[in-house]
Amino acid sequence: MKIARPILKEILFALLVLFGTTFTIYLLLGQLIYEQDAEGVRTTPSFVSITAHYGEWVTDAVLKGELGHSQTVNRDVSEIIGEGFRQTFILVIGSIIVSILLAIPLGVIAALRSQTWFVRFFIPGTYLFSALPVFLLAIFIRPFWVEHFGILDWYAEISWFRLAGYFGIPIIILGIADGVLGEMIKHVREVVGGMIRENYIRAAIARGAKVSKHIIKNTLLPVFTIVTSRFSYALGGALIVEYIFFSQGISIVALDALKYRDPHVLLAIGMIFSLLIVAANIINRILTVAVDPRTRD
Amino acid sequence: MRKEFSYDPNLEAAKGFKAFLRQPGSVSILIGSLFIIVFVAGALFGQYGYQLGLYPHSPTDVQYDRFDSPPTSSVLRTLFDRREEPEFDFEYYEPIEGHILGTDNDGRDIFIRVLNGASTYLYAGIVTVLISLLIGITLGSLTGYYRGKASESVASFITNVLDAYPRIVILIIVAFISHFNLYAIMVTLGILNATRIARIISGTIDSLKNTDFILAAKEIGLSDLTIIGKHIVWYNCRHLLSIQIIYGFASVILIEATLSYIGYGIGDPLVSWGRMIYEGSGGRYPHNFVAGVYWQAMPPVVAIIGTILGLNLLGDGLSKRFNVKQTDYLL
Repeated sequence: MKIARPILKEILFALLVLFGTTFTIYLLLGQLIYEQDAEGVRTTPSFVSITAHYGEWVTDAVLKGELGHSQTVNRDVSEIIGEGFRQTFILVIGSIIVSILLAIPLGVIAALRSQTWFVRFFIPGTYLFSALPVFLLAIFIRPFWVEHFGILDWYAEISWFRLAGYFGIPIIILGIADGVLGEMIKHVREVVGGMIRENYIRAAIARGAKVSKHIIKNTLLPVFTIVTSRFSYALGGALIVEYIFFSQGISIVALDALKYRDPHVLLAIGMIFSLLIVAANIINRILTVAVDPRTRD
Repeated sequence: MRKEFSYDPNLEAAKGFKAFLRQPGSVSILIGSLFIIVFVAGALFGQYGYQLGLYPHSPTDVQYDRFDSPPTSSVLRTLFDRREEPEFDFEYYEPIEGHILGTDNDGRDIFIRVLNGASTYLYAGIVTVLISLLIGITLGSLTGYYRGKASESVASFITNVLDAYPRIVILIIVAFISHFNLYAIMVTLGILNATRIARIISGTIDSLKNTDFILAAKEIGLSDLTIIGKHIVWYNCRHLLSIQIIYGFASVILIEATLSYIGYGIGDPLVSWGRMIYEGSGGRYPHNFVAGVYWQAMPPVVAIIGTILGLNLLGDGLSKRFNVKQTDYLL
């Protein structure tokens, strides 16, 4: 029960943070819309009226679960977003899995065989490659992807191979680019490099026991820390990848909403993203607290 | 035979370039700074080269009679000009003398535009980094130094809120509202980048707060500003901050290029590499690449890769040099 109190505190704090983020986005979006007074003069809404609207929106969202109504498309916001979000979710989760699957072996090899030519040149190359922005990789791969995996023809036969490439290539690009992979490899390398100098690992190696299980177990927590703390990067990258590769999805919805000055859609997207990021932070804190008792105050 | 790094007592005594080379990470620092020197020199040339008469073309000069002309150098043409041979002799198929890297589809010189883009990023990067340093140090010292007081909870609330934003969404909205103003994007990015710096400062203060020298400084009556500014930030955080400055600079280039690529970057008189790539490749469906026109998009791509490579090498070298671990600034 000692863990329960800090977790409760974290969740309350996270709710407060969520209010902060949504309110700031609402303030920004207030500049997009106009208010008409009785004489038909259009002005941007004042701080007070924005706050009042925000209060209405929050009570609706909390009590009824309604995220507002989009006037330009004449549909409920939750409907519009629900359609687009499936793809983004696949992209984000897939990219995280890809970067974990790449980072752990590469980081372990980099730590264990630090003097080889492979590690000296390939691993720094990976850091650079992963530091590049998503769109830079995507624009060169997209023509190839359209030719081989793009489902342009609705009557075309959709094979498993085609579907795998259709989602796989954007997922791999998202998993490699935007710097998360490089950070993960560096982190795993440090953790493993510190671990193999520990006495119990050296003793286990000397006895001929298998240490790979221990090593991988110990790298999981730092990798998860990076995943949660860089979750917003993955979401942002997913928007860009979606914009470049797919013709529908949350990024197209968001950019259209911005173009047609439809603040409720953007607000809902921002809120869901903030919610995901905050939830990732909470999970990270809970895991850290559960594993390391020193951080419990 | 394996080379092991060992402590050399003569290292401290030795001076000059040789001693610098023997320290860890020095090669990366050297190569990285070379890239950055080229970047800065290019930026200065791009900004003032036309005005001083060093280069005949201006970055914003639209010349409709010389659009889409390939690079003059034959090596670059074999690399980046992949168009099919025309059946008739078109005049504009041949390169025009004086345009080293060719022209884009408005007839603007690509060489000077790439260099001018560097000057945009140099300016934006410096301002963004300064804003993020100012806000980050303030927030970080408020959270770290005044722990348990009201200012701590307010500052940590602000840090957490800033961290919980989907960056790209906020930046797109800000860019749209401000009519694609460079200053609005810089300030927003500076504020969003400040959280990492704030975490570093507060973490360092946490670990140093009960050490003897800080307690002694308090005892002899130094003000909080002196203790935080001089003894904590300057003497104990500057190596961490230098790395953060470099990565913050890189993030400016990456994020601005991404924003420009999707059409929400800075406006037209200013040059942006992302916009150049977008226009040069042809957008979401890169018809220029399909047609074989690579010379319009490749120079900014190479420029981005080179700058990011230089900044990353410099950052890696500095973190090796100062023995900074990833775990030190990832909380």
